[in-house]
Amino acid sequence: MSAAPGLEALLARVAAGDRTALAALYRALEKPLYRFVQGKLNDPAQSADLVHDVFLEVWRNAPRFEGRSAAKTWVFGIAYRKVIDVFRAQARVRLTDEIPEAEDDAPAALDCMAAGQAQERLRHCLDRLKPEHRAAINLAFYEDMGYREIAEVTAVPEGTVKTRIFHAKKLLQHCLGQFGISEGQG
Amino acid sequence: MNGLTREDVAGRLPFAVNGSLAPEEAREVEDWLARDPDLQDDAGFLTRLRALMRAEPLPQTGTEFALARLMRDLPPQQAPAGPVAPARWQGWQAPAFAAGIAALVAGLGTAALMRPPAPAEAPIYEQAPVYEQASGDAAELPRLTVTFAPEARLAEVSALLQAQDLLIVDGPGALGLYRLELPPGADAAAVAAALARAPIVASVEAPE
Repeated sequence: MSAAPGLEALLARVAAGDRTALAALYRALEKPLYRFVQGKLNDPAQSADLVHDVFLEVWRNAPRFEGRSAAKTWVFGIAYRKVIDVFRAQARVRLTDEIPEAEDDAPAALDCMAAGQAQERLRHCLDRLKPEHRAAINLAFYEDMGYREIAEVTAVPEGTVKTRIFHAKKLLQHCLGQFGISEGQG
Repeated sequence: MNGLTREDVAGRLPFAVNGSLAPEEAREVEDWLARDPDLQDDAGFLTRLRALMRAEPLPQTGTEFALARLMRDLPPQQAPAGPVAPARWQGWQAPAFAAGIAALVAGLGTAALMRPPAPAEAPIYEQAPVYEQASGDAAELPRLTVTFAPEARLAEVSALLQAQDLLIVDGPGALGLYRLELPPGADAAAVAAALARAPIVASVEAPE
């Protein structure tokens, strides 16, 4: 499984009021959390503030952590709920799969090709996913979470997680295929 | 787990690739892969996709300064539920800024973003700390006062502080002074010596 060793122990120390443990937890998770949040919000300032708020909540609520999930899953779940709160406040997306994925139009793809880097091509393709699909594949491949963990973070059934990643894979296969990456040249 | 269908296996492929499946599930997926070329192709793509995603560098976030801000803002634990004061954006955390910053201390604009300006007549090491530990024992931990070389980069400072498990609890002041809190049980003299050897550290003042 993907849980980094020691996070649960750190969280237990945080629950006891240990700021050093909070700092260690922060150093372990801040960048992955920021990447996850920024992948959904696409707003560096707001993402940084949200991660800050996540750790404030971790500090406040660590005594309530019961260990029924991995510490990392618990923290990412807090982040996900805060992102959803932002979306709700901004009415940017409905909390269903109703928003269509962007068409992979040729001009955008060509612009991306001009940039010339596989990472930029990947970013181009990831950005074209629905937020829910992007979140699922990000948690699966950036964080190596299992489907049960992702289901817990995103508060959806396990089957929904698999469906979201399946759709994300299909679109990414098509999008990256335009650059020859899906066939193994990436 | 027993008798996964092909659809079941297709749904689990990403998790076979990232290694998160339970052993029994993983074995069933492997069995399917051994006899299904289409699933092999899908697994191959997912493996390449994961490798490509994980090759992306983590974002630059100015971790130590964001952490200092967090420590400053820590509320008491288990406080009654209530709205958290919205945190204000501080420009030093922007990746673009972090990437572009040429010198940490020379850019004293950071100081204005970290905390209100210190009174000119009060040296930073004589002022109250930026935050107090919610659990009440922050003042017991030893602290060092340091300045960094003008050419020190944010990433270098972060790496040094993390290597020594140090926290920024105050600064930078007008003179570029930072106060760093040591972890419990740390040998302050040894840490101060280690910092003094770092090329990016201009000065270290051990606790009295």
